[in-house]
Amino acid sequence: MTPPGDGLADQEEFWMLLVLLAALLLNWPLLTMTGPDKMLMGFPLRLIYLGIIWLSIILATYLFDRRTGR
Amino acid sequence: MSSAIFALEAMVVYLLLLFGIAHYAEKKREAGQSIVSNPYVYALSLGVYCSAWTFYGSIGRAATTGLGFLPIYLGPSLAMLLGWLMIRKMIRISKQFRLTSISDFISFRYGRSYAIGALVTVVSLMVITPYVALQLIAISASIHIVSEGQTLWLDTKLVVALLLGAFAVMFGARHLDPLERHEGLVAVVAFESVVKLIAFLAVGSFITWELFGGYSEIVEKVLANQDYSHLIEIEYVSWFSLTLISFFAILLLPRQFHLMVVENSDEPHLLKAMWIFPLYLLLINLFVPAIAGAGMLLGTPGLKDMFIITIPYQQNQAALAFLVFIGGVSAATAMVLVDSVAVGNMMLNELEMPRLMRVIGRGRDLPGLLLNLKRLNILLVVALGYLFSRAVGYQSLADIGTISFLAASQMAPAALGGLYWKRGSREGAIAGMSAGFLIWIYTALLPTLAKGGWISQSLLDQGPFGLGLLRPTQLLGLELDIWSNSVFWSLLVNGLLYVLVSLMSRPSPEEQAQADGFVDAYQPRKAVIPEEIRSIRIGTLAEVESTLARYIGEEKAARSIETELARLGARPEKLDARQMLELWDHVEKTLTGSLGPSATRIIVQDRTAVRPVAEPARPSQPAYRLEIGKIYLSASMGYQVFSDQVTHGIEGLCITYREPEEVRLEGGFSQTPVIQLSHKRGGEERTISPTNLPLLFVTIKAFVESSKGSIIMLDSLESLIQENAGLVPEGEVLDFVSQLERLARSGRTRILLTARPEALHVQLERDVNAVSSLLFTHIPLPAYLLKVFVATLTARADDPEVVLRETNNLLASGILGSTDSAASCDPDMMGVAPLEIDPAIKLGRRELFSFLRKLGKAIHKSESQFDIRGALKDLMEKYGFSRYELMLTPGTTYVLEDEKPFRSLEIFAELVKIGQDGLCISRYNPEVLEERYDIEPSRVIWLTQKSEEGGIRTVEPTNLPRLSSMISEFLRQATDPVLLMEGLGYLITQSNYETVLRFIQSQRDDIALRDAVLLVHIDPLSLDTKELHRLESEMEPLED
Repeated sequence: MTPPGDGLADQEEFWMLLVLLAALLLNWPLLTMTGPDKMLMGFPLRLIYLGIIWLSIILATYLFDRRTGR
Repeated sequence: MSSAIFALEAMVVYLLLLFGIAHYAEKKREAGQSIVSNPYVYALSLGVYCSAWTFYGSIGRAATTGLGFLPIYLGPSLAMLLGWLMIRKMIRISKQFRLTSISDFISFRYGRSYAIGALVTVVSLMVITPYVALQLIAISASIHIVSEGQTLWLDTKLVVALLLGAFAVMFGARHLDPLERHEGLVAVVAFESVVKLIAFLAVGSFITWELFGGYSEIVEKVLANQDYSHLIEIEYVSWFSLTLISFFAILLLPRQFHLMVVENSDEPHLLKAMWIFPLYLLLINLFVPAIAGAGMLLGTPGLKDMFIITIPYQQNQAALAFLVFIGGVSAATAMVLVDSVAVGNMMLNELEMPRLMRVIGRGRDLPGLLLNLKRLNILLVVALGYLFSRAVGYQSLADIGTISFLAASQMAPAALGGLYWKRGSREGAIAGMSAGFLIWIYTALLPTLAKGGWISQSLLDQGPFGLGLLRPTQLLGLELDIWSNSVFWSLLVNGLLYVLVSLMSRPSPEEQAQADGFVDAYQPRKAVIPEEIRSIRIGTLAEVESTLARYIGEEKAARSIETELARLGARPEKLDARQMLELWDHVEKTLTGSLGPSATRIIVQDRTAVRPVAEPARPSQPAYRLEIGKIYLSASMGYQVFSDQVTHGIEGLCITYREPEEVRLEGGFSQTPVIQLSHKRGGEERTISPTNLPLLFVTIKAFVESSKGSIIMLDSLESLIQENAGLVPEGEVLDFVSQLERLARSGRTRILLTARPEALHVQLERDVNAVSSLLFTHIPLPAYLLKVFVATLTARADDPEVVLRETNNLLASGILGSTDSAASCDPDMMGVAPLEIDPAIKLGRRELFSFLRKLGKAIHKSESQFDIRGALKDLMEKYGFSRYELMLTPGTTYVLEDEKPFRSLEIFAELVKIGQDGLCISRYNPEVLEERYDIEPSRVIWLTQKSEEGGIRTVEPTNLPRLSSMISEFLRQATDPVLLMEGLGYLITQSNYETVLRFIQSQRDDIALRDAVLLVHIDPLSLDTKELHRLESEMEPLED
């Protein structure tokens, strides 16, 4: 474990901001941008959008684990 | 698979496999090679979140509400982003205080509140019962499908309940573990997470690519069908509400708290869980829309929830259907196992133990009883679930998951607020949670029961008594869906009450300490041990071990103490005060882990608690008037005075060497508690060993805090001092006496001590005599004080021999009177003579500090860097002395130069407070001084043109002869006088500089003759340089 530093990911406010941002992206009104009729390569844009946000959350926490746990 | 028997057999075989895994995990743990203590197992164990409600319910939900099932998994994924911030803090706190359930966690934060623990437990039990029922019904329904509708002669749900109950008992309550960690259980849950994920992915892949041409084909067909095309739409309000409550649920559901916090073996494991768990949730939901869509497109009959098993079964994929069946069993068993263990533990800690602690007698096999109770609780949880499943059908339970998430969310303001907000109080938490739970019952539970036909639908349609505004699902006319309506009102009222009531209430010291421990969890740990007992010895090792053994068994207690001693680096035969307190701290934590915070508080209180009782008051007036906040000595009338007080309505505590019954009989009272100072144990009466001064003090303090305006009688301090002489260091006796004195001065009690005149340094002139300071009354306390002060100086000096030599020299010079036994410095002796102080030496405050000042000067000659004030600072504070007592030399006039006289007034107030006779000559109205500095108006002479009225003494600024005569009168009567003169500028303005200077010069002489201290405040800017210099030359500066 590396000791806490001054990096962005070491600051509590950063994670709070990230949660707020993710919550915003996953809710009204941003979710309306992916209206039910919008498709991307024959697939509903809404499903792709939700999948990307979900994967981004996983990626952010994965990178934090790599950085902190090393 | 063709029969229910076969399905049940398969389930039994699967449970046996789980049994093997759990057994293996336990064996490895015992061998010190834990397979559970790794981040991947930990992360997978969090998959218990996905119960049968997820495994089957997600598909049903996706088939009816479309994407509406997703927020249940997005909320926890969002929560994981705060893992390192919030969950780590919960883990840190739980490990530090050995908290083993969510109810422990919340109740401990709010001063180990029994009410909060009980409230959380009762609601958890209410929620868990239908949830367990749901799991039993789900397994039973899947057995029904795979056995082609065959039925058993026995109720399938009963068989499943029996199997799961037995399994939960075997691995959740095999033994009492203060940490409540169950590696076998964790291993099983992690394994089951893998099984259900494989089952889900396998059936999803089969349906997507075997039955259809891929995911997009299913989606296209669903969207092309007008009946299903709405499934891609989202109800935004409901979406947000479900995301919010599932965010809270992942942190606060009993099973999640248990696995995520209690079973965490290493904080860094959380780092992996933070991304593996959201990934797990993503994967397990990947095929949910596809399976739901396929089920509808294929026209699959039966419950939509069961599409996952019905589709492969209809497609003659028996092996796949079997895998899904096992996956469903995994989802249900994991939930039932963990929740029954977690809630069973909560029931024991929060509901049963506090009651048990009060009624159970000594000699019972408590560890055995606790273990059996824990097992019984687990079985009770499963049994209640089974009974509930008999009463309702699956459809009525479909919303149970959401309801329980909502209930768990009601703990969020108290639990999460308590993590970050120190002002959050017990009253606030109770008010918020109670209101939240009531609104939850009204807006979520009742509508669900109405939906199931348990209560009348008219309540929902028309509201109670036809009041439309009170309709549960549209409270106050709010047009929201059922869940959003409940989330909004319950959390709003809950949060508001939590904050408002917290702001209006004042936490107890214990609650404040817990709040600090929670909010500042990452800061170095502060001692929870109260200040007053921190430095004095408490109990023996045998007492510590026997207390623990009573609750967790002798073997475990011995092992636990041994481990703790090793950690402290202490030897049993030589424990110091700090180590003993650490041991008690350890015992308290271990008991908290085993019995819960509420029961532990009762045990701790039982060690010290004596309940105040008021005797029936006699109609007459009491013969003696003893003021609260004072200490009294009585030579021969102590018991009569005490009896007079307690029989006239004052709550009393008698501490005596005599037989309690004899004391009661003689005193004519029956209820008042009497503690006998005795080394014997057991018996009807409360006894405390006279050599256990810390326990005695804590007991007195606890009594004072729980009573109002009480009286404490101690017979006698002299005997206590004698009993402890040579057994404990003098400092410990002094600590006891000074803390007793401080307790009396706190203004909540009066203390009455019996004393033989020949054992005192003070004269007893009446039946009861008020004394200003106990430390200087009894032989040999002043000698102890001197020894302790000299020992501290010796430890601080570069050359200890200098301190000893100078002390001996000063003692030999006779400045303290009798020098018979004080050793003098013999130049022919090798080295320095040891310090010998006559135990009967009579020493007042002034003499002590005069001696110390002289000693400090003498040491300073040999060690120029030596600073006696710094060396004695801590000791002075400890015994309630003011540093100015050491700084100010009697017979001296000091000048304090400040713009305003605030510092001067503070110093004066401090000196008066510790017992010096004070007179303040001031420009301020005495009432203002009383309000700001607590200086009694009788001690003030007000410099004003106004005449005296209402007992306030005034002097005209030009009438300096009158002022001088008032000062002389005060100096004649006072024994330890201190004067403050401020308002010099006013005097000069009203008369002239020369007159005032002459007045000061004359007072200075009087001060020197009477051995008093005069503090003169001057505003340097109010005088010119020459005038200031002339004034300064008459006085000495006071430098801090």
